Amino acid sequence: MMQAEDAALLAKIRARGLVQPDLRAVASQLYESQARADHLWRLVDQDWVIAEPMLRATRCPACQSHEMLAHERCPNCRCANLLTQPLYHHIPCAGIFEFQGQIEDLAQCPKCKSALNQEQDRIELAGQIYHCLDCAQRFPEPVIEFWCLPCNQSHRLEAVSFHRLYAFRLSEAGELALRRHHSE
Amino acid sequence: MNSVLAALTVFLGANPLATVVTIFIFDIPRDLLSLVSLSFGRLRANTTLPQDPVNAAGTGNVAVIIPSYNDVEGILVSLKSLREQTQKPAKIIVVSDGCTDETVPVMNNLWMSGTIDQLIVNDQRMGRATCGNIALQYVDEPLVLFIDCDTRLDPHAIARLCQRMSERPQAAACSGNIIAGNSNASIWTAMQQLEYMIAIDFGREFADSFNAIACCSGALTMYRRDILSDLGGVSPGSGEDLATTLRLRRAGYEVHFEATAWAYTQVPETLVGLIKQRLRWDRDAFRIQILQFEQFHKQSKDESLGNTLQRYDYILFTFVPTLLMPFLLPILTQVPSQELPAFLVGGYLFLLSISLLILAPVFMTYRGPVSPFLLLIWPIFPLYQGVVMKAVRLYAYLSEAIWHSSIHDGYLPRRIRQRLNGRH
Repeated sequence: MMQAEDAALLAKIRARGLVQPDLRAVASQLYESQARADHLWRLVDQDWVIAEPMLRATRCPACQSHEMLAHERCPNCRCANLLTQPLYHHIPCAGIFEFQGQIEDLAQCPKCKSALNQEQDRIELAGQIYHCLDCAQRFPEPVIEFWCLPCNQSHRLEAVSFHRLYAFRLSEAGELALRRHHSE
Repeated sequence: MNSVLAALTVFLGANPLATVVTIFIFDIPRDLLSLVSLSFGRLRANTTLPQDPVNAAGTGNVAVIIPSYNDVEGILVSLKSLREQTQKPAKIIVVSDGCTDETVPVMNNLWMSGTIDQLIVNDQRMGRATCGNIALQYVDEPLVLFIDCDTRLDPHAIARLCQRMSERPQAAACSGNIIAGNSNASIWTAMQQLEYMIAIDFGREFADSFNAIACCSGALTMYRRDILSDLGGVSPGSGEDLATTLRLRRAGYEVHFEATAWAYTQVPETLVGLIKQRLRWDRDAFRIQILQFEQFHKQSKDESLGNTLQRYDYILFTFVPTLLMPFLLPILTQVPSQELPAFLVGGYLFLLSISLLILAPVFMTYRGPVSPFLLLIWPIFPLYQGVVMKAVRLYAYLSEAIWHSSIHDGYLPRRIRQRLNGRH
């Protein structure tokens, strides 16, 4: 027997087509007040609603918000004053060098000094190098941290947790049950 | 006993030229030099090596670079041995060279936990030399240690290499001693361990006495970062360890060998795997020593004794004996056919007795572990070293000289090989 509050929620889901989480809300209030997560999952248990994984999102360890911004920091001094430069590989001499600009403009290999005009196909991008403008460190990968917009704090990757977030839609069984409920 | 003596008599008396060529081809002069090296090397070890090498050169001055290609288990073994070093490295850099296994996620976790300091991920494979040169961009430490991704270091390895580098300020590089970590896995791994005992532990220590080291092994070599960087880093292509060592020598720097800095590596366990590896090594040696560095020629008017010895070591004791091998067949045909079986048996008995003469002191004074398995298989060592490996080397030389076979070598990715050889 369908409860009135279940019917109201199912009708709302049918009207919207898909109920998605509100990423600006804290985890306990991801969905509208009429659509609490525990209520939605109860409808899923009764096969009236289908849960579809939407994304795997970070959650702030302080305020439980999912509204977080990924950003890069220096692994040494943790500052954000970073600069990236492309790294090139001259294949014949295995030389690795930084060069900012169009590689076609480079006249000779900084390592073996050979002319590069006719050798553009022997140069390839080998990645990029990060320079910290504060502590002068060089590194291949920065540290990724997450800035929580609601609580205005930065959190290390290992501190935040990742959660699967779901969207919900009405199932065929839910549609039938809802029609039956309205006809009774 | 009489039949043994008779066979030896047939061998030594049938054809003096055959006897001399056989002795030369089967590496006897070189191995006798190894015997001499025992006294030189071991004496030096007892007089100059520090009793306690721990932190001899100070801490925080070594960066370790580990290029890897699809061997996540090997890297974990290497990293464990690095954590157990008496002198801890200041920085550990792992380069994933287009790995398609679990290397990147596993190393990423280790990077985040601080077990490794930097992880470089090449989306496409670039080859070991390029990996080393990319990693070199991130090294500020004065010394940089290159190891293979399956190298397991002895706990004192870094300290002893540092100690040696601090004792030799003119040295640009110092390589360590290599043990086949899986020497008991098969007869082929045991043979390779016997080779390493003679050629590396004794041979290189002897060569080092004359500053005549030709190759600092890619499995364990420490470089001075500023010198290596100034010279443009590691040489391109396969055989990069040999080419880099020769470049350092040509630039006037010393290179050394530290026999007490041990590293364990995994060697091929099957004959097919071993032959493939040796074909590559021998092709690279031929291409680099003969074609690229033209070791037949004197480098300069004032060439050092060490550089002269290093050049002739390869030419006289490796290159020429290998090329002479086919000439053994016509000499053998001159032996009367009824005496041929006795000649061959006598020849092998002669080689065995020489081998015993050489290996006995090696077994007695080798500083690494010696398993009973090695003692059991020594009688076939002359056949392995003198016939099988020499035939492989001869084929490698011919295939490189005629077909330039190294351009098909999978050690480098196809894209790099084609561009190195101008075919694209």
